[in-house]
Amino acid sequence: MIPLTYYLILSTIVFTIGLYGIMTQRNGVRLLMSVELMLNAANINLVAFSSYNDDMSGQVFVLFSIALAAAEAVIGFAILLSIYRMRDMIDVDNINLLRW
Amino acid sequence: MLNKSINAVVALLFFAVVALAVVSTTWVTVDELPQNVADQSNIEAIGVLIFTQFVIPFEVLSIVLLSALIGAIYIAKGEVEQ
Repeated sequence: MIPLTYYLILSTIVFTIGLYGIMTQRNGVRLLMSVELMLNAANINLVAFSSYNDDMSGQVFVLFSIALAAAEAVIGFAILLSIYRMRDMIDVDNINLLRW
Repeated sequence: MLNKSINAVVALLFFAVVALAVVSTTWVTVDELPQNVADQSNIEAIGVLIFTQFVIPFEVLSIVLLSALIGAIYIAKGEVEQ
């Protein structure tokens, strides 16, 4: 039986990649991709703990978390779209005015 | 270029801390993975659980998704009215 720590290490690796992606990317779309990566790392943890403790509620919660990640991504891309219409660029470093 | 390396160092430090925490704790796990031969991909079990124990979150989730949809369309509409 694969020890549980392998799954947790894998999820930590994926989370760290997403964290590095958020810290370095300037493009809005890549930023949202790394946010999705971090959410999926949490999902890996949820499923791992759910199957290793013989309790199904973790896997059900993963479905809810995936749906909420989709809703969040939709809103993120809609905001990026409207920013791109106004400013013709979605360089996250240059978007620093709350009202323009 | 400097802050890219700072970011890398911060990310690696984060990984080191969490990996150390993960490795050093002893996880309480069931000693034999649950094998349900009849329902191999346990979709049936998840479906039963959703509609018995997690009904309210399931309904609230549909409302959240609907509002996210409407909000995204409204935000992305933008130019048409002006």
